[in-house]
Amino acid sequence: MYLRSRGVPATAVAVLFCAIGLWALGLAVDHPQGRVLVALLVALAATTAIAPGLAGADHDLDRASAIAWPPRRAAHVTVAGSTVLGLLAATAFVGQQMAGTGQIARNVAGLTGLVAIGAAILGAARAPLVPVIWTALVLQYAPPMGDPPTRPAYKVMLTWMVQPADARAATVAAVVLAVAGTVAYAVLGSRR
Amino acid sequence: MGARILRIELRRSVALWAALVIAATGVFVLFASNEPYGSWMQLVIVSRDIMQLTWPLGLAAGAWQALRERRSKVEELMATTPRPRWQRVLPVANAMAIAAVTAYLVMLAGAAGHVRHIDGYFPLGAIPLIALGALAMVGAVWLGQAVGALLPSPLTAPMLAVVGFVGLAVSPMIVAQDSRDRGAVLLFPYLQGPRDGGFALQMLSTRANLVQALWFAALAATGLAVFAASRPGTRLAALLPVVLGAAIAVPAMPRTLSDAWVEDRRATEAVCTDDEPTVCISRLHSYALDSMRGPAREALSVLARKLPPGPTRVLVGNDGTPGPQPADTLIVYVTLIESTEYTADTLVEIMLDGAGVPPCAGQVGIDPNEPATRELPPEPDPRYVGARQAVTAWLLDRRPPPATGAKEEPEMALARQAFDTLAALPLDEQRARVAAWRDAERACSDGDRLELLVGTGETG
Amino acid sequence: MVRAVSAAETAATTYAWAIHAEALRVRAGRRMAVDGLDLSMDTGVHGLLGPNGAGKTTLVRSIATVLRPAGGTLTILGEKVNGRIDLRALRRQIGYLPQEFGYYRRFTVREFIEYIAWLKEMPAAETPAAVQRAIERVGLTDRADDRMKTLSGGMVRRAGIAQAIVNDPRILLLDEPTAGLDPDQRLQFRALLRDLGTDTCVVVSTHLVEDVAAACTDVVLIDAGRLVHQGVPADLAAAAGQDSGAGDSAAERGYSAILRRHRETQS
Repeated sequence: MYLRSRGVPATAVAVLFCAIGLWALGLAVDHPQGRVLVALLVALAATTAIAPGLAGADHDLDRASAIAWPPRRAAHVTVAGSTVLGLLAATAFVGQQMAGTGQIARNVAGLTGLVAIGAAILGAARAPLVPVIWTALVLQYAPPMGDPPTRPAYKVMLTWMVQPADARAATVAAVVLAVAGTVAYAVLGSRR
Repeated sequence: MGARILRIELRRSVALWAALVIAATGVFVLFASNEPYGSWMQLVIVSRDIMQLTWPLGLAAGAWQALRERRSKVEELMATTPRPRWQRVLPVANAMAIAAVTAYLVMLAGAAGHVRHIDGYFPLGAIPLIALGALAMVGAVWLGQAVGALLPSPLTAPMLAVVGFVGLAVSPMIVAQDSRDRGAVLLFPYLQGPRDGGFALQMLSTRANLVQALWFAALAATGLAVFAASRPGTRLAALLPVVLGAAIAVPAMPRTLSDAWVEDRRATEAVCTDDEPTVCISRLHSYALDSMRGPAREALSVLARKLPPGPTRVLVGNDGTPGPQPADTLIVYVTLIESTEYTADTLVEIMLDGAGVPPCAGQVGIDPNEPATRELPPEPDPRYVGARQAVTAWLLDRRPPPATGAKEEPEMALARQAFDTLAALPLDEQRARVAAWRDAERACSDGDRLELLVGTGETG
Repeated sequence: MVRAVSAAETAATTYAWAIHAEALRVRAGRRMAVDGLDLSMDTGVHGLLGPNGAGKTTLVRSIATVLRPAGGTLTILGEKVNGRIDLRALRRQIGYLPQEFGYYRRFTVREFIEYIAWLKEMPAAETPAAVQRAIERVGLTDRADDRMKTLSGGMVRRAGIAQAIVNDPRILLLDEPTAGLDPDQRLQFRALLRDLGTDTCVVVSTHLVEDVAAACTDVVLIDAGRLVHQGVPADLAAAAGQDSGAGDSAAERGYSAILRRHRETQS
């Protein structure tokens, strides 16, 4: 019932669509950098799909109940992110791999964290704004067709999503976002 | 009454917020390029290029707005009102269109601060590009509203944005898979600039502009029609504009991208000063005209004094191909696109370099008949370069300074020697020798230039 | 307050009843919620009573032209609404407050009512005055320029009533209009109803028997999609005297008595 109250079926369908889309684009796009880009964008789509599910139906009602919500909300985010990751990674077994598993894992973790932050600050409906705008800015500023900036550490962290899997600063950034997002959403809940 | 409703929608719907977000991200990206934009045309082209980013955001904004009816649960009440759906949605569609155009124009205006020379040449060819950019954004929000009305779910807006990003990012790879030059990329809202990066000197051909205008208008019309349709049958009929548009635009599109970019002839026209001495510069760099006046006057007066008869006009050129040199014109080659700001003294030096005669290609090592190759040209003859430097120094009355470092370039030493030799001669002799040098240089004849200056003088 | 009368109305009204239903059947989802209903209503305040699931809301929605009848005939202002007729002219004369009143939260009260007036194709020149009048009649004058999301539940309901009456409709349909109103506001609302009922056909669907007894000129009792009883409110109190049914007031006892008797005859 909890699952249904959070609109899981629609989300699951959307994420499944993304996984299928990822597989299909894997067949269509050859350019290696293009594949990485597409993998990132599909990960973005899949993580934004979990945004509506982060809405609490009635905030005050939730707060008044005796259940401890923070751990449940934290679990919700974690499970949702892991499911997305699992589905996307599974396409690697079915089709050809678009981007390294480490890269996909990092991107999904970081983007999920961003969606959770967005839900905590802007509300579940507007939550996708945060990851979408950040990704879009990164894609324009550091075009994925070229090489992402490698030297100043802060630049690597800001463009974490287009960095190769071995860039440690990028992984750190993604982990920080994931943890911060989970904590923020668990503590604050969705704004509306 | 419709105008009043439009005003209410502008104020109360998400239109202006969406415009703000889109404009802000656009300005941010436009400013993020490290180098300021060298010309207005470059700014306009880049603003169209980043539609890979802003166009999907417009889609998402439209989809988000179209969610309003479902989110607010007003559908029940709306069903009992007499006004037909297409009249009902027209004000909010117009509000979103206004927001889209505003976002694009504000983005341009905001990034205008990043143009290096704001008073520079604003090409007429940029105006259709701007208009088409605005039209493409209108199409984005209307298409977004259409999709949002068909799929009223909070997932629609972000998904549409991401699908837009993916689609626009992947499209050039798919469309131009065989060659990078296919004209079909013009069907997409972003714009790829001319291949050689010569933004300032080119503009989009009229044919390309018209075809794009038709196609974008068809997209926008379809978006609006699908959004305003109330029944599935009408929605299907609303796809007609885009089908017609495709049927006309796809065949009419220029075959290759290189065909679509034509030379902007107005940019290379000469703009001259009204007063004497006449200084002419290409319109593209007309912002620099005023700064050329003083140095030009000085250079001409120096030449008139020391090496009569001197030229009376100055033509500031930018491309390095030397053409025939009329005797009364001093042609100066100054690269104006770069970021260096020239001081007046530097300009005078440049103008007087080689007494205003451009170096001969043959002597410098470049064969004008051979196509430019990637390899470095061979080292020019130091005697040749030394002679040129000596003449320049003689005109400026400035002895080439002695070497300060460990090793000195051979041409510097030669130049100093030549200068000293010349300075020891009587004035008439100096003048005669430099004049002989200039004649030889103008004719690009063979022979050792340095000999002319220091060698055994032929005529006494 | 007399309603402004349009030219179309001063032409001889050729119909007998404002709302006339004959063997009306209307589907709600899978169920036939209104199943063989015969009803006639004219000028006055008609209270629509009945247990949950009786088909009250479905009936109101079908009069509001949201739903099309599945069978029988429904004649509104002399026009049959079966079949494919253009409902625009009819909808201009209807005012409707749904049970779940949806509104644009960011609009102010005045703007939203103006928007609805525009949707009802009111002449532009008359709209500002009509909107002001509607706001005053429901007592929202001091909140007229506040955004709707700042209003309390009762005020939202009153704004809903205002948008329903802004075009001076010939037929006014109110579904649970007093939900969220405090007792004082409910009294004011009853006064408004009595005022409106002098020249409009008002249909109020409600659970609150007291509201019906106090303000309505006519009571319509519906159960399982069929008409149980139509009469004056005094009938309710009278019915209480014969059999004692459940309820705290005479009207309530009468209501449950009538209902029980009807169900007994059905089975």
